[in-house]
Formats: sequence, C-alpha cells, structure tokens
Amino acid sequence: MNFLILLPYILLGTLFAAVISLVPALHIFSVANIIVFYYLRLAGIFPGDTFPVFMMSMLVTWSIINTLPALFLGAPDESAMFIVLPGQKYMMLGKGYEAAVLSGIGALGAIIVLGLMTPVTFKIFPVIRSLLVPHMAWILTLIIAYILMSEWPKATLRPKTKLGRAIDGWKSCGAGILTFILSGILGIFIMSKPYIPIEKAFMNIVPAFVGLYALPWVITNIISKSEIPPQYISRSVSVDYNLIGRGTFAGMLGGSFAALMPVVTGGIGGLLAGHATAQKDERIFIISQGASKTAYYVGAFLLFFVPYLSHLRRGGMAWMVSPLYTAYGITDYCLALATIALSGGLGFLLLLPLSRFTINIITKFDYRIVSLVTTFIVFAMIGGMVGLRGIFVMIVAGGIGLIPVLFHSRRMNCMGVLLVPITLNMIGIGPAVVRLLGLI
Amino acid sequence: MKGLTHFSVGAALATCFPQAVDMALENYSVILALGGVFGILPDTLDFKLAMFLEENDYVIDPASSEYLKDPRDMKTIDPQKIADKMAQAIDQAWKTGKLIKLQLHTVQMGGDLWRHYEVSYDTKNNEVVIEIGPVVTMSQVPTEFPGIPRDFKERATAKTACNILQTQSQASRIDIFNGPSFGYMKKEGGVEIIFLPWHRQWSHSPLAGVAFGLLGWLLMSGITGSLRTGAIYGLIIALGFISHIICDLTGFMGANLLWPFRKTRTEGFHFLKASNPIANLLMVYASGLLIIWNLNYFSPKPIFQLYWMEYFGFFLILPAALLIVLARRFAKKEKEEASRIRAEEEVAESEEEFIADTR
Repeated sequence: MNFLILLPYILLGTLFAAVISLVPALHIFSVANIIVFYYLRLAGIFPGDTFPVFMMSMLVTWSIINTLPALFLGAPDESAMFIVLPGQKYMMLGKGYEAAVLSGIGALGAIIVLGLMTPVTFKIFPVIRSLLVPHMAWILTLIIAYILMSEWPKATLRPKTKLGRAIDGWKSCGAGILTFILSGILGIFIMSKPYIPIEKAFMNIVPAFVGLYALPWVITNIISKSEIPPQYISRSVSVDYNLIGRGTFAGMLGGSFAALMPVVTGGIGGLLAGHATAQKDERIFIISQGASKTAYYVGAFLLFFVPYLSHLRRGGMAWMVSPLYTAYGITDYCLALATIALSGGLGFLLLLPLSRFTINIITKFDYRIVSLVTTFIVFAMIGGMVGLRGIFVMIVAGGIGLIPVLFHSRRMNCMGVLLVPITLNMIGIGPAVVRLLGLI
Repeated sequence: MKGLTHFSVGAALATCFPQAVDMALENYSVILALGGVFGILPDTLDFKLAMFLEENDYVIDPASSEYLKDPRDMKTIDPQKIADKMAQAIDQAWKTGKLIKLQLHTVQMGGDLWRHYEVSYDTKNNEVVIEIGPVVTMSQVPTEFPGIPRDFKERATAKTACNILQTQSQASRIDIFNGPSFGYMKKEGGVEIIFLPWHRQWSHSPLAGVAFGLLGWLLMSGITGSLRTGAIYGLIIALGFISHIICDLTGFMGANLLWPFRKTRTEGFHFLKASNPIANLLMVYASGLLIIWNLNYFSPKPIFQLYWMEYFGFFLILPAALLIVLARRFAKKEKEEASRIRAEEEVAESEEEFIADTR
C-alpha cells in the first residue's frame, strides 16, 4: 500500500494517542477495545493496511507519553517515597520535566533497538519461544516465587521481643503475600465464573485491572495531603551516552522478555531487569522504565508482524487486531517498523510540549480534583462497557489494590490476578482448586 | 550477589539434571523451580527470620535521653556519647574475650523525616567516629528543619583500649527505616568489627544445604513413591542452596562454611563486590544461556544443533568480553572526568583564596 495513504493514519493515531495518554487511569487497551468494537460498524474508515498502522502508532505514542499522568498527577505521601519509583521522587524534587524527558529518551532508545534487533527477532526469538513455551508451568512458578521471595521486610527492629520485631518487620511483606493471594483468588473467580455476557468476554479482566491498579492510585491522590512542588523546566538534561546505553539495555532486557513470554507483563519484566542489572543511578532507572514500557507494549505487538513466529499474539493489542487483520511476509513487518519509527519520533517531540502543558495544568488545578474527575470517568467507562457487575468486580479489586498502598508493599503483587489462575491451570491443578472453591 | 543472581544460578543448575527436565516437560512438574527457590533461600532466612532473632548486648537509640545534650530536645544528639558507648562495647569485647553485639537505631524526626548520621572506624588511630548530619526525607535528601540547617555536621571520636581490626572500610550511613548492627570479636592483636553479625551464619552453611537436601529427598520419596525421584529433588535443593554460598564467597563478607563447628564467617575471596552490576548481569545472562542449552540438549526433539563451544563462545564469551571492555572504558572515562572536575574545583578555590588574600 502506498505510504502516502498510510501517513495520515499514522499522524492521526499519534495525535489521538497523545490526547488520550494524558487522561489518568485510561489504558490504551480500553480505548483499543472501543475502537475494535466500532470497527465493524464503521467499515470503510480504515481501508487496507491502515487499521494495524493506526493501532501501532497509537500504541507507540501512548507508551511514550502516558508516563506524564503517572509522573505528575499524584504527589506521593513522603512516607511512601521509599517505595515509589525514582520518577516520582524527581517530581517531588521539582524535576518532573527532566524525568519525563529521560523516560522519553529510554523509549526512543527502545525503538532504535527494536529496529536493530530484527535479525534476533527473526532468528533467535522463535527458537527461544519454541523451547520455553512447553516449560511455562515451572517458569511461571519460578517468577511467582521470585516476586514473593524478593520483597524484603521494612523493619525498624525497635520492639524489645523477637516476636515483636518479627511482626513489625513482616507487616509489609506479609501484606504483599496477602495481596498476591487475594488477587489470585479474584483471578480464579473471574476466569472460572464468567460474570459478563459472552459478547463482552474479551473485557472480562479489564474491571479487575482497573480496580487493582488505577482505583487505588486515584483514591490515594484524593485523600493525599502532599502538595506538588513547583516544577523546574530545564533546557537540558544531565545524561550521557553511557547512561542512555545502560538504561536502554536494562529496559530492553526486561521489556523484551515480557514481550516474548506469555503472562509475563511489563512490570514483571521491569522488576527482573532492574534486579539483573543492579543499576543504582536513578537516571538509568528512569530511562530503563521508559525503554521497558515501550519494548513491552510495542515489542509484543511487533511480534505479531514477524513471519517466523506465525503471527504470534502477545499482548492485548495483538489479540484485538488479529481477528481483523493478518500480516503477510516481510513487507508488513517493515511497514510496522516504519510506523514505529515515525510515530515514536513524533511521540517524543510531542512529549516535550505536553510535559510543559501538564505542568501548567497541575499548577492551575488541584490534582485531587483531577483525580476525582478521573474516578468518575473510570466508573462511567467500566459501567458503560461492562455494566454493574463490572463495577462490583472493580470495587472488590480496588479494595485488594489498596492493601499494598496502605502497607507499603509492592503493587506488583496484584499480578496474582493473572499469574495464579494461569499457573495453576498449567501445572494441572487449576480445576481441583476451582472445585475446592465451590465454583463448579 | 543480588537475589536474582542466586535465583537464576539455582534454576540453571537444576536444569543440568535430564530427569528433572523430563519431569518438567512430561508431567508439568515444578521441580526446576526448586533450584531457584533454594538458591535465594539463604538470604530469605536471614532477612526474614535471623535478623529478628538477634539479641544485642548494647542498643543505641540516639533519640533517647541518654544520648542527648538536652534530654528534652531530640535535636541535640550528642555524637560524643554515641562514640563513647561504642568504644565501651569494643573495650568490653577486648577485656572479656566474648562476642559483643551492638544495634544502632534510626532517629525519626517526624512522620516522614529522619536524622542522618554516620558511623566509621578509624583503624589507624583506633577510634570510633560518629558524624551527626542533617534531617533527611524518606528519599534520603537533606532538608531544612527548625534548628538544624541542611548542611549540619557534628563529629566526635572516642579512642578504644585496643586495636580495631576491620575488613570493611566504608562508613555506615544511617537514616531511614532500620540501623545496622555490629559484632565486636577479640582476635589476635585487637578487636575485629563484624558487620551484621546475624547475616551469613547458619543460613549460609553447606551443612544446612545438605540438611535441606536430605529433607527434600525424604519428603519427595514419600510423595512420589520413588527413592530415585526423591533423590533428584534432594540434589536440586542442596545444589541450589550451596550455589548461593559459593557465589557469596566471591565477595568480601564470605559465609560461615563450618557452622555449627565455628561461629565466625570465613572471609570471601575479594574478587568483586556483591552489588557489582556487570558481574550480576553476566551471571544472570550465563544462567539464562545454560537453561536454554539444557532445555534444548535434553529435549526429545532439539530445536537447534550447535556444538557447545560454538554456543557458549558466540553467545557468552564474545558478548561478555565486549561488555567488560566497554564497562572498563566507561569507568576510566568517568574517573578521568571526576578528576578533571576536582582539579578545576581546586584551581577555582585557590583563585578565590588568592583574591581574598590580595584584598
């Protein structure tokens, strides 16, 4: 297809994603869901290859710009500073703009590496995947074990007795384990007992995810007493090629592992990469998180275009696009790469003014009010898409998602919602557990 | 080494057992995951159990009235009193010949503010050095506090009656969450400083690894009804656990190799720091490569056919060599840049002094 016909769709996807990226708690997959829902009704809007190109440019731009609401909307309480990411620490020091740029640099680095990795993607990824997929049962068990075992107690060691010290120390990691178990049980319920009509089955997990991750965030913001400090817009960032290289490498490591392996998400990939590379510099960490996010979301969708991977459906976007489009041969892969390069470059250029725009917004409007509006949007979105049952699941998940926030444990423990039911099924005891819970 | 490194090494060693790979493939067994779990277990036992069971002879809480200049004002921490108490603990170890343990606490100044202080041992002058610093936030950034400026510093030293022997030269920075503990142990010629005396003791002994392996063997033999299958479980558990100890020996602190016959740690080989990012990354990467090699090699239908020297030469030796060369080059550049900045600062300072002198 002529690239000139595709170009407006790339630009449209980029601009559209730039706008929705600024809406807090709005995930790109939720928007993509709505687009797919209306795609069939609006046939003719996306001729030929324009549909995957539009979706890809949206995904790329969102992965770059969506850092902004996470960064600027919500000042973590100082007592939570130790567990928030360095990006938010930067924001609390008035250097949020610098953090946004660093994250964008990481995303750009990931886009370049994704292109350079083409020979690896074509030759090595299919081999690794064919080898590891039959072993997913123990690999997922291993990942669960690491998530649970690698969270260390945040102890004061002040209580006089041994038991007192242990209880004090175990509060945070005990809460982490509890979160994992509860979200795991929620996952088993959702996956074994469908609660929404069959035609909306693809949205089964969405309310749980929104509840586990977005709802606690906005609730914490609403009740937070912290103020966002004035933000300094620097003309340059203190970073060199060495730091960029190390950050991009670390992010790519986690992001590509997550993109390739079933069930492993970007957050888990980021955790593993962060621990594997043991980077202390906060700038490297921020760059790596930007790179990891892009490598995970964009990389997973890019695998859908790789001819040697039989149109692998990794990640939500590939699942949504696959019934409507099939990629053929190397030309489509190159088209996807060109889209990534173009929308990635535009996305980065848009990141700079949009960062300034967001800073402008947070200085004029209280982020608590923005969070309150977001809560209404979240409820309306889930209510509209999934119905009252969806809202109920979201509220239950929100309760579970608040545990790590209150006890300062890792929010990644919420991933039990996916990891537990899938791993139990893979090791063959899923049906027994479902029976035990009285669900069948 | 970092937790993920121990975890990956344990899992990689587990895949060296063809029977275990078969069990994972055919029966969806999680036996291979046990290698990783027991690979990280020694640190889990320490940081989630042993740390809380430790009883100390001295507990220093700088915010208590005993260590304040004005007993009613916790801003007036007296570094001299802390240094004296620590020197007293060292002297007690020297006189009694017993292991004396000391715990230092953090100083919380508010819901989210902490007082920063540092402890170091001067082995030349045999002194305990305490430096009280400013108030810091949870992100360890100095902040203004009424009566305590951001650049606050107050130092005190206390002489000990014996020589101080220490294997770790870095100062301990204390501010958020919990403080460190030290053990003082009489040795020939002085008292040795043992950092975190509860760490890498019984939990890091090969005997504990063997015990876990035997338990695993008995338990899994009972469950599976096969001594042979149980033995594979036991071997994977013991190997994962012992691999942790071996990895730790590459560093400085070492591990208690002869527990329960000895109570002290055997020093490490001083090859590298446990937090070294390149070493950790390479170990994780090498473990990943070994897992892929083993899964392919022991598979009924191997996906790739490569000679082991080709595989590890191309995928491990070459990238590792490249990474090490690049890391050294960047480290050298960083060092040169730091010394250039230092030189510039010195010149600027001398110029300022010269201008001040000539006015």
